[in-house]
Amino acid sequence: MLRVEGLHAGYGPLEILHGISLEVPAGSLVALLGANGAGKTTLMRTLMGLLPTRSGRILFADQEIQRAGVERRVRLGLALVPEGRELFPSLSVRENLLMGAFGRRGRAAIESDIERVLAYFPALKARLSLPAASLSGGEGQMLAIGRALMGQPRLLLIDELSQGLAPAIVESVLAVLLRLNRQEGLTMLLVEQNARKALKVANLAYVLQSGSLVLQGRPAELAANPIIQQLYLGGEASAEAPEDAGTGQVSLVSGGPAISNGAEEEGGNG
Amino acid sequence: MLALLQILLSGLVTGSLYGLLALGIVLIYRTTGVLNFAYGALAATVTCFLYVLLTGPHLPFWQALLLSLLFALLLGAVVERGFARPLLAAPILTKAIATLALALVLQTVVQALWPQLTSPVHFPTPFEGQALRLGGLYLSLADGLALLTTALLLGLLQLFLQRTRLGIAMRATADSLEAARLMGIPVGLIFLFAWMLASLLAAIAGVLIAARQTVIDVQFMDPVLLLAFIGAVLGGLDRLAGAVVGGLVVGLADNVLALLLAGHSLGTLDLGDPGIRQTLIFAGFVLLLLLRPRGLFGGAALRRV
Repeated sequence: MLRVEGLHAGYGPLEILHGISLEVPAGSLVALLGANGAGKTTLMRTLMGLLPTRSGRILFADQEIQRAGVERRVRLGLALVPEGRELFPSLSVRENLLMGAFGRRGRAAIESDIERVLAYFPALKARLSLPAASLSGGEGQMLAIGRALMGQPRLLLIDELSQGLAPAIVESVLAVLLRLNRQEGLTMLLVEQNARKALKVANLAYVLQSGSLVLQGRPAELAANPIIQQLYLGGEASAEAPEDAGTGQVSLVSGGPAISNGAEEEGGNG
Repeated sequence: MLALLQILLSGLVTGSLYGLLALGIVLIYRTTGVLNFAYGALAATVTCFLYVLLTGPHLPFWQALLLSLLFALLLGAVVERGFARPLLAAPILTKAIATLALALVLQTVVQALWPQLTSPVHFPTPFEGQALRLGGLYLSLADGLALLTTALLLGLLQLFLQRTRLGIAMRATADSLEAARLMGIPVGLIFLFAWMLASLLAAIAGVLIAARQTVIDVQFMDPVLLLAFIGAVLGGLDRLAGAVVGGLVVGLADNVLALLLAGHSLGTLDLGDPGIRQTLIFAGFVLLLLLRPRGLFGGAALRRV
């Protein structure tokens, strides 16, 4: 679905991403881990076209898009739930959702997608006509995801899902994302501070450090990796790893990863 | 009593015109972050264009008006592409100062093209000298048209911004430029459209004001713009409805003050002088801003975030 090759990007004189290569296979849920300042958000913004690609290639659905504008990438099926959500605060919840479908035609289909989003996030139902500024953090994140879904994306990028959210809310939002991925086959790339949670739902993970990918592999393998435990899981070996941890090797090369789509090995978080 | 009603009516007329201008100011500010001090010059340029069409080739009024409004759309587009777009990323103060330069450029060009407008000239309209009588109240036809047009435009604009996809996208762009881009909204076209729309509103306000005053020159909008700006800031600068209310408040204050101060004097100072009135309005405005820095309605911060 998405393949990134040797991507360099940054702000002004500052290069943040130093040659990123990664792959998001169709139907997968890929987690992107990394400390603050590792370049996760920069990567997301560059994938969307908000930041220019300095060199390297971005292939999405077999098309080179690294020179394409944001509008074209959205039309091709990319959507980003940005860090900090970036809702339209003065617009109503409903209008926010409508804007998510800006590039689409067909009123009936759009209305039925609004219903679909509300079915996933029932908390938004009572808020439809209220301004987005009045939403709580959790509701705001639900709206940000719902708004991105309104564009019928083929690949959903989610930046800092749990930022500022209560753990219970994170669980319920993650559950929805998992359903979208496992049941509707929506491909996702998820940036998440909480490595433990991300590794539970993902079927492939990358670790970004100072603008370079340093580790990649199946979540279970990464969770068992001592470096990961030290840096991102903050703790005792294997205490918090998923049940099937420790069954393989973490790869340090960028070969084609094997992806399994079975939900049964994901730690039962569905 | 009747005198007061008459004053209120005329306050409503001037207020709605200030409101119309304030609306355009807020529209531009909200969507593109430009505090547009050239707004009056835009209005004056189109009005002068209309004057030239009326007095040069002697076009029929409505035909000339239509051409002028088309010219306003074109002028808005040119200003957006040639002036506002290159400054998009500039700090807000830079943009505001640049609009002062733009105002000078527009005025200079108008003066160079049509030197007769350097000094006051008579602005001919079909409504001149006609009036309506409502009970004991007197309303000139130009004033009546101003009220009607403003109300109609406000209604249409509200419908457009609340109900249409493009209108909602304009508000969305004003709310968050980056999120709008993420939705695939063509923000460049939205900017262009906002300037064209604001330029059209400016032109209509300019022509209505010219029709009331019946005398214009190239700078005739300058004093009006100042009061319209006060209206916009009173309204909080970030909400369209607030701009209209702010404009109405300024218009009413202006007229009520005129009634209260007429014929009074303080020593040798004639309080009925329009300059005194404006000074009082500015003083009141400054005082109000000290008390309520975010305008009458105290909404979001003055600056776009």
